[in-house]
Amino acid sequence: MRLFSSRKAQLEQKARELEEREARLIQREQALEQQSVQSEEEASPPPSGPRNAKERFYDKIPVTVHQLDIFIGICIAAFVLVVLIGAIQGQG
Amino acid sequence: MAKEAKQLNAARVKQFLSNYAIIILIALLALAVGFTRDNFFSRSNLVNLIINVSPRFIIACGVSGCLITKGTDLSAGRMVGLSACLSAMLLQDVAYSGRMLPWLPDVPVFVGLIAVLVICGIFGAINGCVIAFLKVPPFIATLGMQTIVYGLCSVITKNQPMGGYKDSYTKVANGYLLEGAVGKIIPYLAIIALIIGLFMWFLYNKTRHGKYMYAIGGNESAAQVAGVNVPATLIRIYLLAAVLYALGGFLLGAKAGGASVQTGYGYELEAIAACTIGGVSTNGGVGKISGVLVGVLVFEILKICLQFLRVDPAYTFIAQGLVIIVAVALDLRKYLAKK
Repeated sequence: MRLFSSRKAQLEQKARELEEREARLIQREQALEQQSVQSEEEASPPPSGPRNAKERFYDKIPVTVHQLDIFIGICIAAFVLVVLIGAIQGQG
Repeated sequence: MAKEAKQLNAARVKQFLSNYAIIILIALLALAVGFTRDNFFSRSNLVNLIINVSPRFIIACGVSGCLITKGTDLSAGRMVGLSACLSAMLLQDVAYSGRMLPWLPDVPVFVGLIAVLVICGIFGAINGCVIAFLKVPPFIATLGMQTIVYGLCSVITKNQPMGGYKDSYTKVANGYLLEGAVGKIIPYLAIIALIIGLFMWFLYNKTRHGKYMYAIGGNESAAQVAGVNVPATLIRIYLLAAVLYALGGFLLGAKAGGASVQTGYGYELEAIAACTIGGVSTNGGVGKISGVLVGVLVFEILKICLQFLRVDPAYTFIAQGLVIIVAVALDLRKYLAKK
């Protein structure tokens, strides 16, 4: 009987220890979650505020950066062509 | 690892080109013209460049403040014209037969300058109030003011061109410091532009007003929450811009020796394009006075190059228009890349 009651006390103590460990684990997890949220906020830039009319207009233009690069290249080529033709016409 | 390094280098080259494409293009054009044409790399051409750049730089400094706060000012050109016309009316020679205001006594140049600065400043303050308090988009507000100022200028000048200025007025723009045996060294225009540039640099970088301006341009709501008086700052920005346009118009009138309602026409577009080329982002919150100077220089060097190449004037407009389109496309590219 004594053996049984001491064994029971041991089991109860172990159960309590396990509960305490679980509680500590849960606390650590929560702290880690908070830390990761904070570091995400620090890493991401702050919201840039309401967009102005020009940015709203830019948002409606359905082009990619690559397409824009091609367009800019074409404009530069056109510029060179215009200067050459203009110089030939001016001297002619 | 090598592949990643290659990709990084390619991305850096692309970013460098997108930031400086126009400057590189114009620099190459200037080199090509310099090596194929005589007198391009000469002192007289350099002085001519400085004289042309100076008033435009002053005007572009005014526009830059509006752009940094995500606004714009389309009334710049017409205010330059109004200032040139008012200066003409106040500072014509008393002995000139075609005087606009024959009853006006001889007005000192300084008084004439103060008068045009105040009048244009009032219009700038009105712009600021409409934008800050009535929340009208700057594009619309300044477009309306552009038309009003043009109409006013037409009414007061009766659409007549003006000339016959006092010598003391024309000397402001055509005089030189250290003029003598060695020739004309430093134009007064350059000195005035330098003083304005230094003042604007100080204002943008070392004063609370400058910090508020960049804060509003970066995030207006956050600036307001942080305690910035956004309406007051915007009014100051547009008022200062108008004062600078007035000074630019005053100097342009003195340089040209005449003025009409068409003086300053289209200058706002050039100034905005020059600011955009120089890195003043129309997305707001970014911009330096040195960048404004670079942008104005690019435009003026382009014009001089085209003159030396004897490019037909019609083609000159097309070339300038293409440069403006490329500047806007690069600005859009920066916005999309940031997104």
